[in-house]
Order: sequence, then structure tokens, then C-alpha cells
Amino acid sequence: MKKIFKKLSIKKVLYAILTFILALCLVFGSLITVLRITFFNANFLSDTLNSSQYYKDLCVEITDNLTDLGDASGLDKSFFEGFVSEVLVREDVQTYITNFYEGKPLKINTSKFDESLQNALTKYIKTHHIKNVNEENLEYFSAKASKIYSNSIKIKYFSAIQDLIINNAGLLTVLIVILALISAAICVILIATNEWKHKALRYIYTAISSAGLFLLILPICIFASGVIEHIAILSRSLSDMYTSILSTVLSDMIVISIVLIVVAVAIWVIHIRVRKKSAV
Amino acid sequence: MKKLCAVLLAVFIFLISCCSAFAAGINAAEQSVLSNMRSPANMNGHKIFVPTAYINQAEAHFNTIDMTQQQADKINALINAGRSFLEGTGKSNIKELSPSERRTLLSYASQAAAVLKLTAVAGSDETRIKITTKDGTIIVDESNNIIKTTGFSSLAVPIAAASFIFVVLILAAAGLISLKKRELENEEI
Amino acid sequence: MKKSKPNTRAQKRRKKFLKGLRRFLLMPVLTCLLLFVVVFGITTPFLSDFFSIGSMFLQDNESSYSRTYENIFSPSDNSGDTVDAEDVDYPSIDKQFGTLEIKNRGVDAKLFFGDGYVPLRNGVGVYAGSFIPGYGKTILVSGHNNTYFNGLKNVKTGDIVKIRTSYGNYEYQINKTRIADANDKSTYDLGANEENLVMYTCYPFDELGLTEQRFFVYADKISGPEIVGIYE
Repeated sequence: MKKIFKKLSIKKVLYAILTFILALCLVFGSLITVLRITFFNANFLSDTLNSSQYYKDLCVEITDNLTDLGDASGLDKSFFEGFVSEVLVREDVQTYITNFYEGKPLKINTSKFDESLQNALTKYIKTHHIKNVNEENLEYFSAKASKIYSNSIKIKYFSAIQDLIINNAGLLTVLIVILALISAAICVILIATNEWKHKALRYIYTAISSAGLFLLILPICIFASGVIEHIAILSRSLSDMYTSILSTVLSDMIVISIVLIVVAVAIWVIHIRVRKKSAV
Repeated sequence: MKKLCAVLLAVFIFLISCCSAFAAGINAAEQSVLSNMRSPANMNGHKIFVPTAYINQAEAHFNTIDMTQQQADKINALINAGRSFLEGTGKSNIKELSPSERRTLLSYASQAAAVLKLTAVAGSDETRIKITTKDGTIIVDESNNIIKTTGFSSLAVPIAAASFIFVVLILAAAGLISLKKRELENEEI
Repeated sequence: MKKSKPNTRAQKRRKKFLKGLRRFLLMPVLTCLLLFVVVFGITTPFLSDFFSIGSMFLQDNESSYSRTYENIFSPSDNSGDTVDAEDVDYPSIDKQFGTLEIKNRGVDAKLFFGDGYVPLRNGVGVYAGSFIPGYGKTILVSGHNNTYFNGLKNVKTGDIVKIRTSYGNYEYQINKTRIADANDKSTYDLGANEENLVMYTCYPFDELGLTEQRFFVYADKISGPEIVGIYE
């Protein structure tokens, strides 16, 4: 009697451990999946920027910075009004993103911007009949303006993580597959080794639902804390971008959690039916 | 690197100061901190000093607060600890610090920032850094050029290399040094 | 007293229902809690530095990208000899705390503390690593050469610079002008223990382009209240 009792307890403990490991695999697998489809996905970043105010704000910031430079260079404040083309900014940012995810150097081609600036300067000098022009200083100004533009196009802090993204994108996919296989294996073990199939389904339900709850509670807590809106970033465009990215990541986690919970509930329903069948 | 260090020195001073606002004046506690800042550090035979500009910024900020002796003792302890740590590395330049050494400094910064409730505002321009109180009052808005392009930072003022090292002592707690440095270096394409 | 087994169908159903509810809700919740403990237990050693550093970048309020600035200047009558440090509201960065004027030279600007974008768009700015009038040290002021400091091109030795603040009115007499490179550190002394005003702007004036040269104007204090009681 004692032996049977001991045997049953050890089995239950083992199933509990397997259930917990399954839940862990699902949590980490889901988190890695979210990372893979967001930070490690070029389309995600492009879509996020397109759907936010990023480009509009960026154009305003570039214009402000160029105006400050113009102030220091003898240009009217109106010189840079309407100068920065949102179309060009979008094009250059998209190129930057593509290069980022392809592991290419993140150098910005400012030739179109430089050309526009030269044309505008020539027109300005002619229109205002300016005679006091030092070519060397003007070149220095143009170089600085170009630097402002290229620094604005670069997405800040991205270059620091490019290697991380490029080198680990494949690894993440492998990890997702491994975790999925482990999860599947645990499910098979639970079902195959359990005399009562409905109990196995209950264990699987517990694992999936707890993982779903975890992935639901975590982003809700982060949203509720308001931490995303309180990140101190100097640039409005950058702030928009990072808050959009973080919000989307957290939303994706909630979506995955809902999927897991729905699957868990379905398994619970199946478990009830299987239990009724085995009772008969 | 230079710009970062220079700014971070100022930042650290503010990081380690207390938060209550008072009328202008430098009390004995604050004077002890300023004196400590003026003392040179010996890093592998190189005597290094905090740039005057940053001691001045510290003094300017101390004019708006009222530091207690207890707080000053804490601050001086941090300065001394940072100094000792750097002198103990045997390095002569902050650039030579290993990642783990930088992390040590960074952890000082985190503690100080948490205690002092200050915010580092991540800049869009890598030459600029802004430190505010949690409610947004600007304490440091530094582009790291003393003589500006009258409004736009362009030329880096070549502050003596030695002085930057000492900045790290004080800004150990800021730790922003390490973080920002990596970003700055990586930003240069 | 021993608890009696449920013998009615309703009682049996209720017991079954509660057991099912326990398995349906309680087990997932407990497992979820355990997940939190384990996940944070595993990740905290790796992420604690990140969270600690990250907390430095959090503020109480949402970021404001307003271009407005705070003006703490209100005209004062004090042109006397001293003003108590306790009566001086030491400005913080980007705040207007006074005005600067050089009569008949076309210089009349709001005076800010700090010399970043906000001050120089709206007036002239005192470098935050220098000091305010009355402090007895160097006051380093910058302004754009095509806006508020364009008038510096007209100044002469002997001209009077008037700075008005909320705690006192100051006058400085220009003694020297100088053209130098922006990197020339001999153009200012931030450690000076005598009050001196250094104003600078880009040079040449009225020329298109960015230049590495600066036009410096030096002035000595001739009147205005000294801030006393700064050091205990």
C-alpha cells in the first residue's frame, strides 16, 4: 500500500515538473517568437514607423536643427522652411533600415540632400545679392548640415545592436524550433505515459493556460505602470518610435496570450469529454 | 568620449546632490564636496583634475540646493570610492577600462541616480546630453563644447585628456559614461 | 464530529463543480505565479544592471517638447553694493533670468542661463559652467552673430554693457575685443576669482557660412551688487 502510494506520488511529482517545464518552454518560446517577429524583423520596424508620427516629427526636428545651424551661419530663419522633404527622409530611413537588417554598413547617402542644399544656397545668394561669401566657410556649413541630416536619419542606438540582431536572428529561429519540439515531446510523454488520458490533457491545459496568463499579466502590468510614456528621450520622433515599438511588442504578447488561453480552454473541453468517455 | 566624460562629470555632481531647492549659497557640506572635486587623482602616475567648467556647474547647482553633511559625506565617499577604484585599475586612461570595470562604474551611477531621483534624457544628437530632475527641471544640458558655434555644437574643445579621467571618478555613479561611450563609438561610421 | 459524505445529487454535483473549478482556475494561477518567480529568478542576474540603468532614463512626467521657456526675470531697483545670496533665485538651464544691453550698438537681448538651443534662439545665454553677474567670477555669454549679438561688431572699448537681473542691475565696461579660434582656451578663464564678462559670437559678421573663428568682447564690472554670503 505504501509502495503504491509512493509510486503514485512520484509520478504526480514528475508530471507536475513536466507540466512546469512545458509552461516554461511555452513562455520562453512565445517571448522569443515576439522578439523574432518584432525587433528582428525589418518589416516590423518599417510598418511601425509608417504608422506613427515618426517621419513628420523627424522632418520638424531636422528643420529645427538646420535652422539653428543657419542662425549660426548668417542665414535667414526662413531659409530652411519647407526645405526638408518628407519623401526623401522616408526613402533614406527605409534604406537605413534595410541596410541594418542586412548587416550592411549604416552609412547614409546624403547626395540628394547635399544637392538640394547647394541649389538652395546658390538661389539664396543670388536672390539676396550676397557678396560676403567665404567658400571655405560655406563648405564647412554644408558639411555640417549634411552631418545633421545623416545623424537624424540614423536611428539612434541601433548601430550598437546591429551585430546582436544580425548574429542572433538565426539563433532565435533555432531556439523557437527547439522549444516547440521540447513542448511537443512533453505533450507526447504526458499523454503516452498517463493511463488516464483526460489527466494528461489536464496537465497540458495547466501548462498552456499558465503560460497564457503569464504572457497576459506581464504586458498589462507594464502598460498599467505607464513606464513607456515616461521614458526620457530628447527627440520627439525617437520617443514616438520607441514607444510605438514597445507598445506593439507588448500588444503582440497579449495576442499570443489570448491564443494560448483559447487553446487551453479548448483542451479543457476535450479533457471533460474524454473524462466522461472514460467514466462510461 | 571626451564630450561624454566632460558632461558626465557635471551630471554626477548633480546626481549626488540633494533635491530640495533653496536660495543661493554654498554651505560647509557643499564646500567639502567642491574641495574634494578639486583634489587631483593619481592614475598610473598621471595627475588628473576635474575640468574647472564642471566644478563650476556643480557649484552653480549647489547654489540651488541645501546639502546636509550626511549627504555630503555620502557624496565624498562615492568620489573617494570612484577615485580609489580607478587608481586601483592601474590604467592611465579611461579608454583602457575593461567592460567589467565600466560596469562597476555604471552600477555606482545607477545607485546614485536612484537615490537622487535624476533622469538622464537620451539625446538624438550624440554630442548632447541632458540631465533633469524627475519632474523635468534641467540640471545639465551639455553639448560638450565650451565655445559653441553660437548655438550649434560643432568643434570639440580639446580638454586635456587627463581631466576626463578624473571625470570618471566622480561619474562612476553616473555610469552613463560606459553606456554612452559604446553608443558614441558605435555611432561613428 | 466527522464530516458526512455528500449524499444528495446536488451536493455531489457541487463538490464535483468545485473540484473542476479548482483544476480549471487555481492550478493555472498557481503555476503562473511559479512561472513569474522562476523567470524573474533566472533573468534578474542578467537584467538587473539593465533595469537599474534603465531607471535612470525614467521621469515622473511625460516628455514635453514645448519650445517655450520660463522667465524668472522681474526688473529690480538694486544697483547697490551687495545683495544677500538668500535673496538670489539662482537660475537653472534654459530660464531667462535677465536682459543684456549695449546701448547704441544694437545689442538688446534676453539673458538666459545655459547656452543651448532654447537660449540662443530667444536671446543670449550664459554658459552653465560659468557664473551669474554678482558672483565675482567669469560670466561667459554667447549669442548668434546674425541675431542678438550682431551688434557686437559695432562695440568699442569703453562701451557699457548693462545686465539687468531680478536681484540687481550691473554695468560692465568693455576693455578689449579679440578674434580667436573657437578652440583657443586662452580666450576665457573659468577659474578666475575676479568678476569679468566675456561675450562671444561667430566671426566674421554678416558672412555666409560656418566659421571656426570667434569674436570675443571682454568687460570689467564697474557697478552692481556683489552677492554676499555665498560661502558659509
